[in-house]
Amino acid sequence: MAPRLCIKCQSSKAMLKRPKTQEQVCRECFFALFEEEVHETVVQTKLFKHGERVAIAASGGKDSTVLAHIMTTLNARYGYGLDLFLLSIDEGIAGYRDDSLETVKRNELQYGIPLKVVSYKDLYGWTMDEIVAQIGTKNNCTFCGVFRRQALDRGAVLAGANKIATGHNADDVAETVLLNILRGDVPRLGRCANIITGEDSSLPRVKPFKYAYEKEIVLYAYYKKLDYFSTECVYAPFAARGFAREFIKDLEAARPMAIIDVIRSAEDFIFTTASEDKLPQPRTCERCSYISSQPVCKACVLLEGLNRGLPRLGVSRTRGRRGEKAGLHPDVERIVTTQAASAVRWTAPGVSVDKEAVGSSSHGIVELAAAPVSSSSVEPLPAVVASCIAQPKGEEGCAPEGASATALLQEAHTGQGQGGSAAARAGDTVLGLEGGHVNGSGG
Amino acid sequence: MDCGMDEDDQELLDAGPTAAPTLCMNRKPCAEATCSQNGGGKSSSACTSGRNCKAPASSCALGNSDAQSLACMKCKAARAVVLVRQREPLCQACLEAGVSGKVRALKSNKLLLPNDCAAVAFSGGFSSQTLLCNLLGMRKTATTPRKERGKIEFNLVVLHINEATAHGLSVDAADAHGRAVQAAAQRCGAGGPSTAVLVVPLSDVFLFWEELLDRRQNALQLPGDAVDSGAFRRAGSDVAGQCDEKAVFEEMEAGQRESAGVGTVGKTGKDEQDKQAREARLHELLQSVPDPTGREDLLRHLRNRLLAAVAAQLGANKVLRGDTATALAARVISETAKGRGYALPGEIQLLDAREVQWGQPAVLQPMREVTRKEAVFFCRLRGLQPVQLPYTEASSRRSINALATSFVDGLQANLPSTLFTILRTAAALKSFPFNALEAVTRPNETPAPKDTGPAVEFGTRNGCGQGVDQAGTGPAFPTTCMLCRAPLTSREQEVIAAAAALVAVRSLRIRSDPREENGVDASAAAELLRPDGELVVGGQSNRSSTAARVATSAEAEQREPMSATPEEKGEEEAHGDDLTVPFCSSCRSQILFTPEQSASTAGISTALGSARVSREQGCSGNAVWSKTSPLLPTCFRL
Repeated sequence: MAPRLCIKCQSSKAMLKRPKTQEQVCRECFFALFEEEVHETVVQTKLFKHGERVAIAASGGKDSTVLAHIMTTLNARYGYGLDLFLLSIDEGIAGYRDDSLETVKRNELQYGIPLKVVSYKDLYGWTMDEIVAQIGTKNNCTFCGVFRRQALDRGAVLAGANKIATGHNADDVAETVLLNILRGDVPRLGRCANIITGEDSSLPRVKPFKYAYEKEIVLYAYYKKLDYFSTECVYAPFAARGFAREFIKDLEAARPMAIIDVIRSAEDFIFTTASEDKLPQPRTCERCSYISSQPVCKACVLLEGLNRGLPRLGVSRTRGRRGEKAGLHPDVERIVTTQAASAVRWTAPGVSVDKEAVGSSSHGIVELAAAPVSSSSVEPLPAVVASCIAQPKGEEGCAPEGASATALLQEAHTGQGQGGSAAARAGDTVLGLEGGHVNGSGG
Repeated sequence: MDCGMDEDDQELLDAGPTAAPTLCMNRKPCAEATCSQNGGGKSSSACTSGRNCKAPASSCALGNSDAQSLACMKCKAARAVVLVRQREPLCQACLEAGVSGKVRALKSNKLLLPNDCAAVAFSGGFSSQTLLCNLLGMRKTATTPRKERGKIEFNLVVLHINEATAHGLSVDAADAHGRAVQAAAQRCGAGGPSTAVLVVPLSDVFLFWEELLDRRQNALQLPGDAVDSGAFRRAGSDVAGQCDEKAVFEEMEAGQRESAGVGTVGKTGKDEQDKQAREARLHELLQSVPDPTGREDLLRHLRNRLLAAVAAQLGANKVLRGDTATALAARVISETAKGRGYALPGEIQLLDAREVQWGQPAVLQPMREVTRKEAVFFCRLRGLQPVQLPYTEASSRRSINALATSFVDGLQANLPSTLFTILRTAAALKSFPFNALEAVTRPNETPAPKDTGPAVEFGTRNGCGQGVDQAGTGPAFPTTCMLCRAPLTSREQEVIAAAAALVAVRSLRIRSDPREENGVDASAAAELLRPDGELVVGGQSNRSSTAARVATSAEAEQREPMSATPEEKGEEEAHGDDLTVPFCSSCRSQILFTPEQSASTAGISTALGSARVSREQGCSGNAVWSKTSPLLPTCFRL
């Protein structure tokens, strides 16, 4: 049998079957099609304006690497006039992020766009490894997700960006849609399929790959021989969120267009006005001045939990009497104002990476929905963050004063029982609708 | 709650065998954790735990020891026999009371009024049996003791659409299946002069074909005048006979005995031939859809169309369906995965009156609060066996519907709140005007069938005019897809309107318009759409059909390099497809014109381009593109 010809150019041999459309195309046509589709997406949705400074959230993984490649290519080819740079977050996960950062650094050279790295250690005083050492592998992804999304924003603001481009692909978006349906998160369901998000952050985030299939991204990276890092986060195996992912893959196998169809459905959803009212109005965190839906942003709550040895704080369902986060007294004195604190923290050079939700599926949702977490082990004693002085008050999370940090740690560790355990479990799995809910509300 | 609520089932139940349940053998994965544990059905000893429990012991969800020690959570008196929800052991009476209470929401919502004529869509499965039992329990008949309150005097007809042949069964086996379903309905208490049980072969859908399609076409073009369409008139005249007259049923039953279709009264010999022809046509139609999901959906849409049409002919003004909460939750997921997010909220409500303005019955889903598990145990405790088609099609594993069902079931098994969370999410979606209770409820009105120009009235009604998308539609109800009846999004309507306008323009130029109704609109459309250079090119399709096909494919190739944003994929497969026909993009791309190799182009401009040529050849031009499904367009030819 003669080799099948590419259905596009009808001249070269077909090399692959496009996962999205099942077309048999040659390599060059595949590249062209893929790039053109992204270009169409960018143009039709008016993703960028001429002259904008765009941070490409870069983890070193396939999605962000391909994103960096495509964005530089298209920027040159079509004259978007964008000022691109790579922005990486260093979570401080040994054996994962340090390696992927190397990849990003190479990308910096390959694509000729500058790189900026922001690290958790500088921002929060904790690395993920340290956090995991303290809280275990249960809810670590919550911390990582919350911190990362804020870190990205801050890094981008610091670098003077107007927008953040992330490598979320169609699979990620579809998965998020599904998860939000499953957990009943109507407000997020309403906006998770938007190509531009960021009502809850200081900068708009855009997803040029919203309609690009994960498989095609991989193929593109593979055939283009792009330099990317494919190791999964060392803590990913603990993040049990595979259900929705698996289902999306099943759908894709049954009907390749199903992924796009899920997204299209989400775009077509029209909600009753009542549910729109529930959207929290953005405000400013009292502690760090970061945009937040609550008086105190999620990152500050989590951080306080870490620093006080109460890792459950902000993870399990906790809501104070007046709608405040549990454990944070609403009237607490704010010693350090946000500006000062953040200014100090920002001095760090950056070293880190990540496309926040990086392609790795398991993180795809972070930004959009609740956060999975990862963390590691190390010295449990946290760096000091200026802002927390709150008196313990409130529910389960609160420790008796004077208890030693280590004792608390253990307590919290072993005895996650009680109120916490259910939510803890929940927070980690797709099924954990309740817990996930809370996680998601972070700033 | 009153546990002593009477269920007039006693004598009827005796007819049914109380054989061991075979729950988990059916095509859908068993949704119930407990029943899969206990569902082996090996024990034949009768259950001793409940007062009325006639089912084998194994069908009780609680183990023997538990059952003996637990009292019903609600009445605190009887021993609990089932555990349909966590930590809620119930006795049979309380279970039945709970289920019937939910079905009775029909009455409190005034959706079932005295003298209504309700057609129950009866598949023979658990949920439709449960529904039927409960409806019969709500009904007041001549023999109902006077003291019983809260019953309604409505007419009931049980309809089964026999689609056995569509699943590959022989005609004989299909007949046997039909009889089994009929027997099952009778075990539930139907049958006799007061409650006719009709089995209609799915192929009868072709008897209603023309009018179903015609009506839609008119609907888009002339929303205001659509009341005059054929279907309306026909249904209307039948309805005029009033459903409470037994004559209708008797005639129907008689017709059935002659093995004739419902819609026609003809000579028996010829009928037989016609029927075979219809079966063949149905088979062909289904086989022409390569995608298993698309085939299932097509089957479902045909079934719903036929149900509505037959019910309308019988004079029914309500169709009651037995979709359980479990089924609806799975549908939320599957419809989402099919890109039907826009139409989704219309399908999961208690009331769906989108067809009312066409003289067709409103669709009610009284079981939407009842979980499948409840329905299963309701039936089991009454010893009712489901009648199911032997499901042989292995490809269904690949279907999105099956995937969604097992996905929801899997989650549900781990987290029992999943189902309701999904439904709660879906409930936040804005439903359509035709879902509003007012869409059929008119308390001051005589309960006559809604056959008198409802479209006009709805237009003036507050609230009904707030359709989600009113562009180009009638005053009250959105334009719907010709096949699945999904409301069309504005995007889809634009494409269709543009294509129609273009056709009209061209027909003016060519003077060979095959379609009268378009000709009428042509001048107006021509003004809408200024004929520019491109449109004039349409003249080429005046050539012979072969040449036009060549042109079509050539153009298609030209278009291919154009890429499109994926969100418009829905329209992309429209090549060769008659774009003026109001199909929703999901039906178009997933059922009707499944692309062998889809191209990536989209947008109205492209749509216009492809409509340009294909239209002239009728739908046969589709063959150029949809090689794998050349039949559908033929079948859907107007």
